[in-house]
Amino acid sequence: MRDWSRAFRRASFRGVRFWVDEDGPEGGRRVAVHNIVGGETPVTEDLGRLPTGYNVRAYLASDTADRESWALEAACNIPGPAQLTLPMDALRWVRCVGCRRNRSKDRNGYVAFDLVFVEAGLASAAGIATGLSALRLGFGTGLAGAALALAAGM
Amino acid sequence: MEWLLDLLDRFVSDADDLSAGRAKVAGIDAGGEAGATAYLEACRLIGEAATDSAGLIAALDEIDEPTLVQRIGCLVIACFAALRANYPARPDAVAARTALVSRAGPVTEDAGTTFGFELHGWLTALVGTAAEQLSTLAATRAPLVRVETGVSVPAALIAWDLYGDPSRDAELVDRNESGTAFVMPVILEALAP
Repeated sequence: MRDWSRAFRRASFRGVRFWVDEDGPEGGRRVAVHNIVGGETPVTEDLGRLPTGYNVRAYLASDTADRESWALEAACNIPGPAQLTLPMDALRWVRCVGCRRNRSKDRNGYVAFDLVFVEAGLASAAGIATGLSALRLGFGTGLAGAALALAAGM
Repeated sequence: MEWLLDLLDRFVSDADDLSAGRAKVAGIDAGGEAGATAYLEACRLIGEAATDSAGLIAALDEIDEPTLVQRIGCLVIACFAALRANYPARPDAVAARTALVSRAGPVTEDAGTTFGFELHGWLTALVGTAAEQLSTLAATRAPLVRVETGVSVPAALIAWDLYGDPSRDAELVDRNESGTAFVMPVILEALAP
């Protein structure tokens, strides 16, 4: 019998790794429903595919869960699309549109996240920063806060 | 910040980058947030502008008993230098990513303990972005193949057989750390033709 406990890989977003409780894509069609006066049958119109969304219930569980969760939050707050790897799905370009941290006093060492991603899509694919430009973008984001923290030790 | 000036002089040759780098290093003396920003910017510039990225990364390990602030600076330099380096083969880029992540682990840990979550998060995100970009780079590079010649032959002959280009013999000599191009090992690594 297949060993399902080893079947799935660890997830990551923008290179920051995390574990996943639940995940799944959400898709469908954009359908307009036209209500005709006096009509008995609705008229519907297919307007195209809904952008695929990903709702992920993520968690970090270790002695350094607090620091790992800061790193994941930082990754979610950097502007621009990035690569998302989920346990069962192929790597894809997405934007993070929601990041909610859940910590409970009864579960020390365990930090959960509700993450919401949406596919980056074609229009933004042209604007995806790669290589050095992506690194410059990451460097500039949060530089002021990092420098302020570092200033204490210089 | 003598060590930054030393790295600038040794590895940055472009006149504009040199002068911008020296200005950033001078700005560190301002202290406070402005000084720390200048420090991190100087590290970024050295990593980006170095003409010999691999040599620069190796030089970072030669710094004698670095302080935590120096180690943080070295990590920023390594992130940028690792992306600027040339990786002919996929395993080269994967090895660079592994080395960067290994270097980052203890530095981010200590930085988080000493300076708090903001710096920890920023450093982790920077290293994560660099690792992600190195993975993307690795995917576009040629794989390595194992070549068995049976008898020892000159590198130029192997380069001709593999690529139809005998001038790529130096590449085979370098990759296999052979002492001479005339007698190559009978089992060697080469970029996939």
